[in-house]
Amino acid sequence: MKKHLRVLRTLFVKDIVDMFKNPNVLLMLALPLIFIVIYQFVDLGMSPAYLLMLGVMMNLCLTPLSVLGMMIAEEKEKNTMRTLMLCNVTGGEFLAAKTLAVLAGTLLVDTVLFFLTGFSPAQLPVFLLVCTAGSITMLLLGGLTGIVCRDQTSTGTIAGPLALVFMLPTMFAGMGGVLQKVASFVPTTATADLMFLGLGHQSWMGANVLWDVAVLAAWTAGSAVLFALAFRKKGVDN
Amino acid sequence: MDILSMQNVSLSFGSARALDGLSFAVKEGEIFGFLGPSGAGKTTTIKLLTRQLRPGAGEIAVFGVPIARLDSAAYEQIGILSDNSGVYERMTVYENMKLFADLRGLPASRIGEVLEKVGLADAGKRVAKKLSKGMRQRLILAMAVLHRPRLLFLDEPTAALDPATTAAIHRLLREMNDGGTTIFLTTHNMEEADRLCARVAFLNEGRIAETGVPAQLKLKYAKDRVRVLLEDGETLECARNPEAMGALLAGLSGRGIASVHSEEPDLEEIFLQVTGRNLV
Repeated sequence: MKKHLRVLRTLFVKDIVDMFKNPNVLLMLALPLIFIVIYQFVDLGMSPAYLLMLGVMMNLCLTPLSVLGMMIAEEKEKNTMRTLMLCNVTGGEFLAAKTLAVLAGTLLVDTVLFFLTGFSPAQLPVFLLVCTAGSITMLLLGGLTGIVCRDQTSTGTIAGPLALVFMLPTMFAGMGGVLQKVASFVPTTATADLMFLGLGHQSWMGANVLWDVAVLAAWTAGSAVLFALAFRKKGVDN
Repeated sequence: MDILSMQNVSLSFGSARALDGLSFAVKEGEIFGFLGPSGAGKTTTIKLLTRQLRPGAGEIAVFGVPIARLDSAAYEQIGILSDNSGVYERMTVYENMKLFADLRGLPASRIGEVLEKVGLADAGKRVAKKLSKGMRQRLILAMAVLHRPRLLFLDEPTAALDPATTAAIHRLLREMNDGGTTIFLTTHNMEEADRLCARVAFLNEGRIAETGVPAQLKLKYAKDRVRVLLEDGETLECARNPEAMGALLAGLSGRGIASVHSEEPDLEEIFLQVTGRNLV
């Protein structure tokens, strides 16, 4: 146990530091912030809650999904993962440390977005709780991307389309029709709905909340199964 | 005591047979050279011994324990330098070392000690991305020996390195071996094997073609001829036995001898004799 904690702590610190030294990752982290600052500057008349939702959706699809996959694939590509494995680091320790580091990065961006859009600190805990719940599916899919891909370039081939699948229906759900129907089944919409609920001090009881929680739970379970199957079949160092 | 052993180990990749009934053992405290041309199965053997691959058939034991039953504590006693070892390029030399020291729970004081030994003491603040090939290889070696492993696997440790770096690495390896570390070295550099190894094995097409102490192998495959170079430039040859040599010396009638050489092959020539193949 002591060994696992030592390895986890060491890798977590390494990954956090590396996130801020890696220009590709820094760009991914900065994009939602730049996006929101530009939208505020041009003033399209969007409500702060909608603006925050756009930033959080973008962050959800870029950071846990793309960045995690990219960071895992980079370690494969540069043989550092093999060096870690030969230093008695397990695949589980390696993935857990990276996942926690990317979750921390995701929540950091979410927090900056929260304050940029002018919300009160009192609403932050609920907001972060919803963001964390929404990130789990994306982290599992990001981890899956990292396991399947051999290098950073190939992560884009998987994470790019996945990001669009999760981001676009939620952003355009307001247009109604089929888009709204499709959007109700994706975890990003469920996260956005719960976020609006938390920010608006509305009741957490109701059919819509149950549906959103069920969608998030189903995606989390499905992603976890896919991740576990890929991990069992390919291992982390394939 | 055998620190590692393989018995009838075979492994195929698809229809290609990489190892074919490989059997050998390495004694604790020796430097064992595993020699062969590219594609002979040297790296595959290291991967099997370090559990990066599983054998198709046969038995492998490390520290006297079947490899499948080896626990993680045993792996704390192993160091590995392979062609697919990597370094964190955005981190400095010191940060790379600190990461592996922390992972292994070692004190930071050990880092300076090892960097000094591999000649990187002044390069601690250099970003790994900007290191030369030789410096990078020394950093990987430093990371592999940081925890004073009992068993060290080295896969072509000096390939494509300059002579000065190679000499420095050889010094470090001898020093570690003197301190009790067993070294399993794969190389196709026969000079390196001759200089470092207590025993060598020739690997050819996934099988051991010959094994032994380098000096004994040279005697075993010697041509049994002696070449005498005279001071006047003439070279004479005779069989390597007292009668023939006595007759040759008696026939010199006062002419000076510049040098006498027994016709011993080097390891490369022995490999060629045994396998019919060149090493490179």
